Amino acid sequence: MALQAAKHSFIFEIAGLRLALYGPDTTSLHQLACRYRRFRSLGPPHLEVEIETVGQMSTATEEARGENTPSEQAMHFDGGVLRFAAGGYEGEVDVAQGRAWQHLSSVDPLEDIEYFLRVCTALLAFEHGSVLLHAAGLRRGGQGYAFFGPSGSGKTTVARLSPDAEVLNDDLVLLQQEQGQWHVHGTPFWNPTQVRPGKVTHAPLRALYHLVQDREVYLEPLPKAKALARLIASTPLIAAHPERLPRLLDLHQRLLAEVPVCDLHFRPDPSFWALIDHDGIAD
Amino acid sequence: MTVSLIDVIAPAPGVVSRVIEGEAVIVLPEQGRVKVLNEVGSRIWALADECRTLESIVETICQEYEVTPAQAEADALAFVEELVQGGALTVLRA
Repeated sequence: MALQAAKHSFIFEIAGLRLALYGPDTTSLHQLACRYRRFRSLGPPHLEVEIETVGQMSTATEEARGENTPSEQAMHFDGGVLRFAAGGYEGEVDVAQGRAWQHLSSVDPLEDIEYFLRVCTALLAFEHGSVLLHAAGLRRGGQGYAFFGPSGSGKTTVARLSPDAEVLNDDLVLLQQEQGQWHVHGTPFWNPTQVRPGKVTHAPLRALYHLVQDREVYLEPLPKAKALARLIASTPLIAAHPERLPRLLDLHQRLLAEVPVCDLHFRPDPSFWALIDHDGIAD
Repeated sequence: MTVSLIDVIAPAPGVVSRVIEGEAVIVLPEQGRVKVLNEVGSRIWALADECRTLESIVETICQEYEVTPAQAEADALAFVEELVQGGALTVLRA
């Protein structure tokens, strides 16, 4: 599909992966361009994303809006192309062709567009051997730490309890292996309920901590099978599609071979950092 | 109980698994669920290869682990029933 000359466009980059966003000259696009300004890039895009707002969608199905909209069940792969359709929202992502489009008729276009960009980023990253993870990424003492878990597990809390650390992102980070070393990269995706990402965008990954809210503070070593299961559960989109799962499992196993992972039992106070600082597992 | 010893069992379509250090990680992508099986559960999972009856699997478990046939049979039936109900295994009736 040829991209029409758009009124507004910008390119943003995460861990060397560039997405170009084209769309109508709307408040939403301007707001996103402002949100993503630390990630702006001039390099050639890996994926061109066209956004079009339409008056009335042809899709009849109304999907209940949950945390991710539309639900991952409203998406399916047709060969290598991700297609989805839900009430007020349809689109495609074809990473191989470097094209994606979204047509939406929405009362909340900013959040719907950003959700689509998260989907695009997840797919683009995966095809380049990286992975998007539901995690708070922090840099402290020059080292990167990723605290992962489902919604409500405490990712934003951990970020707020870390004044000595720089927040890469408190919800979605990208893990990428670069010259044999895993790095945690921040993403521009955030909302006003979260901790705003800081100026630092990436750090070498020292350790991964699966969050467990508890009255006691301690680290619990994880057998590799449980660590793998916890990582899969925190990997959005890709884990929901059988044909991509074997590669995702391979990727996470490579990660587990290089980066220590354990359960972090923590209270809503900064005491967990003393534990991490003295933790032999991260050495 | 929907499972019997004469049934042949196999991983359900779409389920992806990986064995790491003797433990099986079972991913049910369409349900968004991940399970980790212990050593014996992982062994039963590995033996559920579309070729063996559950009775044959129980016999193998009795040979490889210190367990009475009656206990192995009861535990295997309950375990397999749970995985069938959960969508991880499917029954290919003899």
